[in-house]
Amino acid sequence: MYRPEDILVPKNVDEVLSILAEHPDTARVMAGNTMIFEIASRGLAVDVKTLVDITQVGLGNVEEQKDGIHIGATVTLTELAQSKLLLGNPRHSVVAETAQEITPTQIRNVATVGGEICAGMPFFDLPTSLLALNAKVKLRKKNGQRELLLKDFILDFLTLALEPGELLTEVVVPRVDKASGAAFMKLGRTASDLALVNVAAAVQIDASGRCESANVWLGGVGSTFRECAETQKILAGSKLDQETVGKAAKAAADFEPASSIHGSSEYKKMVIPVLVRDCVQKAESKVRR
Amino acid sequence: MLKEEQRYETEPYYLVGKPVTRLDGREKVTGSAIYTHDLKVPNMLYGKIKRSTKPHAEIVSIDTSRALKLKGVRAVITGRDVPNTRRGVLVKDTPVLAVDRVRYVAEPVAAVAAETPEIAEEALDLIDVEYRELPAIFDPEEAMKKEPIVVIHPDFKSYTVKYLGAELGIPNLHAYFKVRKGDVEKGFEKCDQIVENSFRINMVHAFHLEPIVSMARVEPNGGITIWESTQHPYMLRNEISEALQIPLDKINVIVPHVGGGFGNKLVSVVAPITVALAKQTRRPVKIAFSRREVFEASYVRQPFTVHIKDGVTRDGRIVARKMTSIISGGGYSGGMGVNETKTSNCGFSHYKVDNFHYDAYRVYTNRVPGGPYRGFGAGQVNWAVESQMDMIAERLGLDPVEVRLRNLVEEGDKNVIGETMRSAEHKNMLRKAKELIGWGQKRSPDGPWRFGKGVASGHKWSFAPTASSAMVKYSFGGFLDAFVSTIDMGTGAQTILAQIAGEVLRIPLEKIRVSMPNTNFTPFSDGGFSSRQTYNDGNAVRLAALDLKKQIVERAAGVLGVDRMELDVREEKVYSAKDPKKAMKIDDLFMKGVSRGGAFAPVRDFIGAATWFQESGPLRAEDGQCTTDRACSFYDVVSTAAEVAVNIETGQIKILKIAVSVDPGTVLNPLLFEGQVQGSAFMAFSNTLFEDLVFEDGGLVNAELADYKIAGSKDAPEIVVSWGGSPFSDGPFGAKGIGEGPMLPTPAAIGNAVYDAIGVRIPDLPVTAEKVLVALKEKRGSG
Repeated sequence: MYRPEDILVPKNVDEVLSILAEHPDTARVMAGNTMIFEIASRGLAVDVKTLVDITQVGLGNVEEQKDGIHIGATVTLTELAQSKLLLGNPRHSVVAETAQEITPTQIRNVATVGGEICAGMPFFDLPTSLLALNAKVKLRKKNGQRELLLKDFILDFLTLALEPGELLTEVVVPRVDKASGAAFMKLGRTASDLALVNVAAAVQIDASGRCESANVWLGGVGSTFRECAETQKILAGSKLDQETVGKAAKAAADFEPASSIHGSSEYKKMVIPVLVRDCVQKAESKVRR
Repeated sequence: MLKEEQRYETEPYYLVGKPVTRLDGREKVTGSAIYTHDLKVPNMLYGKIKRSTKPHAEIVSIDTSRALKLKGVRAVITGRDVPNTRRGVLVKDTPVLAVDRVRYVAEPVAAVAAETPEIAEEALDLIDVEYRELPAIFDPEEAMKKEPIVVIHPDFKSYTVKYLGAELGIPNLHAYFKVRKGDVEKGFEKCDQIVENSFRINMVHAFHLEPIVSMARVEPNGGITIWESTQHPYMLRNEISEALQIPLDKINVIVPHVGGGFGNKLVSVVAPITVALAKQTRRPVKIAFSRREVFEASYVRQPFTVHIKDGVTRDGRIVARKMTSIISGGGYSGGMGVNETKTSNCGFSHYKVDNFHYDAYRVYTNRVPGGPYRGFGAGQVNWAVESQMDMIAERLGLDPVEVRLRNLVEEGDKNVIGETMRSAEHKNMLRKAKELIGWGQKRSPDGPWRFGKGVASGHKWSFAPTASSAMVKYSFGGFLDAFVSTIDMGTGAQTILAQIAGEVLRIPLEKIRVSMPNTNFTPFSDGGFSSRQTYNDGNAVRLAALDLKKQIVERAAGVLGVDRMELDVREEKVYSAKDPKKAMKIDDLFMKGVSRGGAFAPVRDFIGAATWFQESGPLRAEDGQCTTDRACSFYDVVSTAAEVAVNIETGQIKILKIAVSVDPGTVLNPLLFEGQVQGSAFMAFSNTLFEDLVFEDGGLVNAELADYKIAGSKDAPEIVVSWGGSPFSDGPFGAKGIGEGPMLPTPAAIGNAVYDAIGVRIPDLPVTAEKVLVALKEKRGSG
């Protein structure tokens, strides 16, 4: 059984950064505390001696700024699911809708957006949607800060571009002025399951009704999330007609997804085109023209 | 039934049939109910079990010295520190801790008692076990060979066994059951069509919410007290006595609330170790399994491979049926798991077939032992038989309901094991299920979704011979205590018994208490399994209450000066039915005690006691035919109908509706009845679509809830429950048990509905989306 030596509850971000600077290798941040013991029980946190609870440091807001929606690292999935700011926008609403699909309620009430990303689980739902929205993450450390695209931050299973002493403070969902819509879909074995495969799609439509650009991402298919580059290429510039969407969706399965006891690679290859097709169509249907 | 008893069992009922809420409802819902897990006594140590990491190996050495040196460790025991016994119900093959050889991954090889659970856990890592690996058998077909790659129990001949099939020369076979009736080969010659299929039923777990847990303490007088989450305290007492060679009178088993069992807590996988550690340390010891241990090291529903060959006439009559079940038993007999070889007959005996032939083989394999699982083997066989019935119907171009109606048993029929069917409303239950699902009306496709309906029939016996005893005590003040060893693991059994006692004595429910088992003080019951307690414990309580009532009435007859046959009781009064003026308070029958300081205290109680014994005839070894006209207590008769939606692009299955039609005799409590039937149907639907224990090499790979998929509330379909039939003459107020029945036909009703929707049949459980999609693709490819 995993027993941390210490659990600290700092009151502001600077305190967190000081602790992390002091113990860059042995301190680990926690928020909802739904994953760290899970990870530890698999022997993957043996070096972690100090847990730093960041739920009291003021990173719990969702707010609109000039460049987009800023979501604090400790905003819970329940808060996301109910955010009027997100739900009011046909593109950003996908973040709230994705959070709504994560079960059970008890997890939603404590799990946070920062945790969903930093757990490094390639089958989680929220990262897929944030990736499709070109989200960025803001990172701070004692003497500095930087910003990265989420797709450059999540590297692999349990692996992030997080430097020692660094804290993820915010996720920024960029503002898009064009007509746009985004959707999320997942397939699990049961109705309250982790994703066997999940998909998120965001489309931008130009004045002529053509798809200016599309972002399509998959989760649950390998050691990290997958951008469906070929799918995006086929969709861009098209009218998103049934034939093109179907062709683009097929292209999304043109790789070998990882097998698990819950679904083989072959099965995933069969259902990915279905999910991608439905998800792109759903995203398109949300666009306000 | 005695004449005198009859007059107490007349409608309108006082409590029977009333939807009263359960006695333990409030404490369970508020979290104040005490379970074994909650218990902690002074000086208690925590026990942990060192488990095998090999599926099959000789134990070369076990070195406990490093573990013993760890601060806080109070004992480390191995198989050498406990009596060299083997236990089991029919096949005594299971040691307390492995000696010489391990036969499955997670088999107990040593145990630790320490001051904290963490120290005990740490000590496990300091026990060094050296193994010499042996070839392992995972495939039951391999285990069936006369010259298998390895014999899992080479000393089998030295075990105490009630074993049939020795003449078959299969060294890993340890349980065998056969049925022979008529002449199947001649039957096949006479029929119009042969329908032959194989089915596989996978390994799943009962998944009771409360994990396996027990606590033991050596008392100052040398006796042992055991607290355990068990379904059978009296059997547990016997087992401990046998395993550790402790006299029965030195063992007391106490059972707090039980958080679900479903058969898995019938025979203990932990108590002998807990007691051995308590004896060794002379301190109380508690062992609580982790969820992982529950999955890896408690009994599982044993996998069956069922083969059926049917000879049928053009009009759908089964002339001859030949069946084989091969059961992968795991490394040991699994307590009562071995009995499923015989009880699997309930999976087919609801059909009347003149020429019948069945062989069930249980073989050792290097897996966790299979144990009893709600339905006791009948569910596995029912899946095969009820899938087969639809395949027959399709072959003949007949309606699946019609084919069943032409073959189901009826009241008074001799079934294939030669007993006379009683309370056999099979056909009516099927007709009702058909009506509830709207048979024949099909929804049109909606996008990728296709819709279908299916039915299946079944029955589950409650075993006999069996017995239960009860004592009831009526105290001054008008309240009643029932002393029973009944297990209420969520079924509502205590409430049912209170309703029965209260009915006989016409006492309101709030004045009745029902004990929890304590083998020193509460009388024998044959346990909470096989849907038996309502019927058997219920009859014992009914008879004990009648005994008590007779005493009250006799005493009152003297005081009131009337014939006792005139008298009846109700709400603290005894009165003459002929002349209501002749009445008195029951309290006034209590003798007044000796004066002390001028006050009179009532002395004495009224105590009634009775034993209910259900007789039956054994099934003959040579042909499985019952030696009398009765093989069991009763049959729980059920039909299920299901409506499903199948997504042809993803293979996903949504259950839209399950309709379960049950013949419970009398419904003693509609709320509990509905809850039990829905729970049973829900459990069946979950294991039909989702549940599966998956192994790689020797070990289980999904021994946790993230990976062992179980239906949750979001998956729940509408479950409609109906009841019919008439009171069963032998049951308390006509009641039978209903705990297992819906487990049987529900899976096949779903499988048949999937077939109806998309024309694809998945013969091997579970019916996953992936299997459906692959089968659809193959069908398109071939079509």
